Amino acid sequence: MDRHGRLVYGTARKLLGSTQDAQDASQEVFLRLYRSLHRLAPDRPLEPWLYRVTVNVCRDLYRRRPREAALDPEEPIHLASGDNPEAESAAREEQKILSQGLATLAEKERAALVLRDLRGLSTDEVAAILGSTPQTVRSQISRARRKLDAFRQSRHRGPQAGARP
Amino acid sequence: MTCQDYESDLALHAGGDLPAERATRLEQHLRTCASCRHDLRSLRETREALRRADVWDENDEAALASVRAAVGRQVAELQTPRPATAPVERPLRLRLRPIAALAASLALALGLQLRLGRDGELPEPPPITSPLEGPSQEGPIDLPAPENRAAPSALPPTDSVPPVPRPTEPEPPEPSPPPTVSVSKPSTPHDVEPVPPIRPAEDTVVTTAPALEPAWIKLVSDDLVIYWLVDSDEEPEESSHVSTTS
Repeated sequence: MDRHGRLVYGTARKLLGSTQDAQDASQEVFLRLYRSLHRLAPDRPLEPWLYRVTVNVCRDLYRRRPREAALDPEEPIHLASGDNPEAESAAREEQKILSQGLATLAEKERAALVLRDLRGLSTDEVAAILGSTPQTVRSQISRARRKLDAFRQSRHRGPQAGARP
Repeated sequence: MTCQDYESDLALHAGGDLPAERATRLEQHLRTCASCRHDLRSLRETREALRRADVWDENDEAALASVRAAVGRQVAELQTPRPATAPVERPLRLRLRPIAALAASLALALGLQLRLGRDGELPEPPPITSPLEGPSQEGPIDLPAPENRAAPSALPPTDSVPPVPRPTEPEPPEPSPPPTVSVSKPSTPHDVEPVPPIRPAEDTVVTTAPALEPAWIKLVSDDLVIYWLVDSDEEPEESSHVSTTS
């Protein structure tokens, strides 16, 4: 479960923005996996199924708790040990900005970006998981990257940060 | 093409998602456009920052341990066999309802049978027409209306005491047509439909019944038909009284 646990939890954490929600979603995903084990073909990779169920569970959780709990950028940020205090502070600030930026994205844009850029899936794989087409996924990814980048620049360098040279 | 036209392609190119032909065209534009080169660099930095943040999330060992423990508990609960649940018990009144209906039907049929045979032998049936069947040769007879049968015998005849008009009271409901009873020799009743629950007559009196020839008693009411077999070999009880109320 360790490798799959990181896959599910890491995806849910980025889709939901909340540690507690990501834990709840991960539990639900693995319970569904337990109930569906007899239906899964043993010779096929498990990851696509896990991603699809994770996205669905997170979507349901996000819609149930859209305001009060989802994508809470104020919750504690977990950093790798060994960082020096200055780097740790910068990383903490960076992660906070990214969490807030992800919260500004539309639900499908966020899912497409997380699966493509963070999980490293191909556009076709993302389209299959989201039940969409590769063209639509590319469009969602493009918009999501531009929105997130604009948000990050504006937060790092002030309102004029995104100005073109 | 202007820089604005390359915005979407720049974002795709930052992650290697641009088709080769469009990527080549974009690269040619980038050689001459510092603004777009700046945008592409920023898009790539944001993407890398996001990937680093994801690595931190994946290494949140405390959260992962919590998930593992919770899933383990829930799977263990699912594997534990649950005790068999007790069968749902129907309410007593629902269980007794068919018995009460049957008892009421029997009481009514017995009362009719014994009332008919009170004189020791089956009276000659006057010819009447059943509402459900045509004129029968088996001797159907008229049965008084239930309200007449239930009327107390101690009351004086209605012609001796003039009725007092009571204009304030509502009119009683229209009485249902009296049921008819036909008596026949034993034979298999054909096309007998299921008998619905019957509303028993009030204060049906059952007295000692004389021995009768085996015969079918058929009660025809406005909404039901009851067959009742009278067996002459049966020893009737000495006396019984059945009171039923609707």
